[in-house]
Amino acid sequence: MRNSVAIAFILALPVAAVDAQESASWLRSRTLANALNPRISVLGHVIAQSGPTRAETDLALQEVELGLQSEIDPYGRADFFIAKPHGEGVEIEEGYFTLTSLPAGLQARGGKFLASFGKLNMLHRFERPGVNSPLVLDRFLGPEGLVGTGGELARVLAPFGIFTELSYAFLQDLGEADPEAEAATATVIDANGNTATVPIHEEQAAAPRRARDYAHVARARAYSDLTDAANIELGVSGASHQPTGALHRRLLGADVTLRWRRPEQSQYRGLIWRSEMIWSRRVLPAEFDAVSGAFVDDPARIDRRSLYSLLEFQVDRRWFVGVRADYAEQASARAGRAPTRALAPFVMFSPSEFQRLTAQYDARVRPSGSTDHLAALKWTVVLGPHGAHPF
Amino acid sequence: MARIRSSLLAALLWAAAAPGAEAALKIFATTPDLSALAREIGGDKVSVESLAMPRQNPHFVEPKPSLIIKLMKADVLIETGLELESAWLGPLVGGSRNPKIQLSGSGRIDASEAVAPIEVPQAPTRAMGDVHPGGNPHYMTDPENVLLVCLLIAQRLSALDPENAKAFESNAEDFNRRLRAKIKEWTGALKPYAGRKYVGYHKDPSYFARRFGMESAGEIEPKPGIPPSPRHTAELIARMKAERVRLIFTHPWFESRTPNAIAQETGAFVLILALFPEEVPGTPDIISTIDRNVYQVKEALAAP
Repeated sequence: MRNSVAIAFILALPVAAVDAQESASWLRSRTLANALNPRISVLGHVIAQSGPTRAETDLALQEVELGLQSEIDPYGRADFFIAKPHGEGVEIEEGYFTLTSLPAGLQARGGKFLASFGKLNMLHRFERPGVNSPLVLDRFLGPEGLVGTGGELARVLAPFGIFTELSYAFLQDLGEADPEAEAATATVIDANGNTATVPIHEEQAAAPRRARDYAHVARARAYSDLTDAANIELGVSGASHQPTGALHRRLLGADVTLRWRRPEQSQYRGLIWRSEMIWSRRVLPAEFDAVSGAFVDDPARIDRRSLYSLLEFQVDRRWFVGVRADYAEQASARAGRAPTRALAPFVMFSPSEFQRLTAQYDARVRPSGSTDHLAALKWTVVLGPHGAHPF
Repeated sequence: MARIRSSLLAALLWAAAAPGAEAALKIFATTPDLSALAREIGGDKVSVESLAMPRQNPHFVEPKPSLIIKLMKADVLIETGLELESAWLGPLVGGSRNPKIQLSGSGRIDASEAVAPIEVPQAPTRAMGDVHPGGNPHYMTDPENVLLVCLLIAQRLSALDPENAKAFESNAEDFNRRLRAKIKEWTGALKPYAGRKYVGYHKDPSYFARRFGMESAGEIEPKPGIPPSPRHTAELIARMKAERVRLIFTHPWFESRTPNAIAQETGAFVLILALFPEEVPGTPDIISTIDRNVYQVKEALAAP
């Protein structure tokens, strides 16, 4: 029955349709070889900046990124981003596989990836609005972001018609090694009976890893349309990590995003307001003296919080203006809270969707009360089909 | 106990009945022209919704999570293809995690498979602007292409839902009969204006123009997706005056300042050559949309 209906319809197709289909087939066959290759993109950004220190006055090709993205088979896809940051070696910024055909609406990914924590952490640096990243991201999540190797499971639900996404990731590590974790020491007795002071992470490296030694990252976000033009998104994120047992690190994040963009004039006008707040708790272990068999100090608990708020307005097809406000406490234990406050207005010109020029001014009020001024220009260029950003 | 038993029985009956109540194919189309066509073919045997709104630029739909929720329940996804939706459809389909509508899914229909694209760039580069390597994707402005797409959709829906194949076939034949009659009428209406020139904001009137024998004198965009510059606009105005161009085609999603300024300089009419039903009021379906396009063009060209 099914075949007979299909045959009847094929016979009913006029000659023009058959010609059209042959023509379309020819077009498809012409690009068949390319279609099976991964999508390749290259992204680069040049930053020129002038600041109060020599390190902050620079002109450099800040980063080049090669992206390779493709479906693997009907069940999954792969995304690889290889980066060469200024002054550093080539590194795999992200490289992960995503299983897209799991039952119950689940999606899993494995490899090295930016953890689903907050909003801007999931964007590569050059994709973030403005010239530089909010201070809270650099200080609490690290300059490369909260990135790790492991697996993630995510599911989308729609309670009461509200888009809700839950994700959980289990990661081997979480961003760069913490300098204070590296610095923590313990006094031990070596094989010859001599006492020695060694870094805790070395001392514990041989110990078996426990579940809590791995990093755990979870996120829940809910999205709802308010009108055809306006929508709101709320998210909470949490991360827990105890690298080599030397330092227990917990992060809690909350984010809110309000967007406005009229569908009829979506190319010309738009407004985004986004704020993220992160609370950080770090527990430095008490130093243990193997000779006396006692702890020589108490565990240090360091609580910090930081936030940014960003407003970006598209004023015309090619022009955007924005301002970001930062409040960032020092993540380092030795520095105390020592908050820095900053205000960073910026203007962006985007001649096409493949390049943009951003100028930004930063006024940073240091804990001492002095103000640093920084001016920067970023030129971002995209070659090829870079994957769409997460909404 | 009896109450519990009856509640369980009612729940079982509801569970058994629920799939039947939702048996109609849930069709999502990327654009309102394809959703209107699917509605003509599917009739009351399907539910149809468009992802893009009628007055929204189909190149720049925001991939909102609220659209992902819709696609999670889709049985069929009809797309225009030829990279029209490439900026936004991927994240929506991927986010939906719905195997039926993934690239290899049984419910994915690429309507461009039915037509012969025009303006296929031989060696596309981004220096040409936002070109579509597979050809111009605005093929639904040609009613003959609508006929071809109609047959493709009817064929695919029949394969997906054999029980309703007869209804789909009958609806498609009825729509084709009505559209063919109108094509004859429209061709006659615009025959006296064959060879007349127009300017489009974008390259989307190309298929319509080819069908009815009109010629392009250029676009307000210097290249696809690139905003007009003062220099290009001045050159376009000079060309329009020299070639006595009377028509400027645009859409509600483009800025109106440039077309209106050009019209003021050249005396040309600014018209919306609608791509979609409801892009302008009073055009609820495909036939009424093309009908309005044809008679608005005729009226403008017939004006003294």
